[in-house]
Amino acid sequence: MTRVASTPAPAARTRARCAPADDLWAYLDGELAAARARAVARHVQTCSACTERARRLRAMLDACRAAGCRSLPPDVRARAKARIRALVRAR
Amino acid sequence: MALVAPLAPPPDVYAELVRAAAGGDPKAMERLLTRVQEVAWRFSVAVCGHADDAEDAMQEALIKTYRYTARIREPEAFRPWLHRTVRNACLMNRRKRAHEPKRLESLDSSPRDGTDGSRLDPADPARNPEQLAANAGLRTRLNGALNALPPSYRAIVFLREMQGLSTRDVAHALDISEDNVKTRLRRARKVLRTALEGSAR
Repeated sequence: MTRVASTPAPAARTRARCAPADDLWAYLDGELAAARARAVARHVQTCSACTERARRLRAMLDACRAAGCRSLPPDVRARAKARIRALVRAR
Repeated sequence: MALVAPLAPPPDVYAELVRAAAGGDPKAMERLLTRVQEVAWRFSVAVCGHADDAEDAMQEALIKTYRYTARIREPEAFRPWLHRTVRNACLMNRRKRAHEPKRLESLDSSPRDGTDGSRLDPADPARNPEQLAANAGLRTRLNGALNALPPSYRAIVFLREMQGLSTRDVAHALDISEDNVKTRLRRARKVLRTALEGSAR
């Protein structure tokens, strides 16, 4: 049997270039060095698996960010306002 | 394929207010203190989980900010300073309550009256009922997963994911190394992801 020099299948080649999870997180966090961030962005754009991974991670980040914007309950807000007014007026 | 973009860091809403307040603008001081109260409440409820601690931390943050603002030299450093102050206030209160049974307040409920906070969210861009219900479900799952984490992990998730602080600022606010922040954040994200995606299936 003739053995053909091994050429990785397209899917395998893509996986080899896939960003490790930490890099993908750092990319989405905006904390990756510029050159690496560009490389990750290029790869994510051409790899459907990484696009899907990035989309799901980003959705989690968005949900967390939204949860961090929640308003104070009215009674807590009223007490906070009263404390501030008292402090600023006493200046 | 559409690019999944990085999350933009939230604007630093404090630096300008700190400058103006330090310059004697009473309106800026009032706005700054209002923001400080909000952050102190959110941090306390999300991380410490005790309603009375939240009020104590708010008071502490209020007084310290009021006294500190006139002396501040780097307005850009105010945000990590604030979180560090609130975190210290929470720790002090936790020590005082060491003998009491542990309980956690929900981010979705009012500490005092049990009001459903989901009705009070003006930042929520989605106003249609189906989307609001979906968002409420997501918030409930997120809240449950967050409460299952140890407090030190919750603090990192709160500062990094919810407030958008950089890894460096989180490390400064919590007085731990950046590597420590990254390690704990990695673990916390895994837990949150499993909870959010697992329960969504």
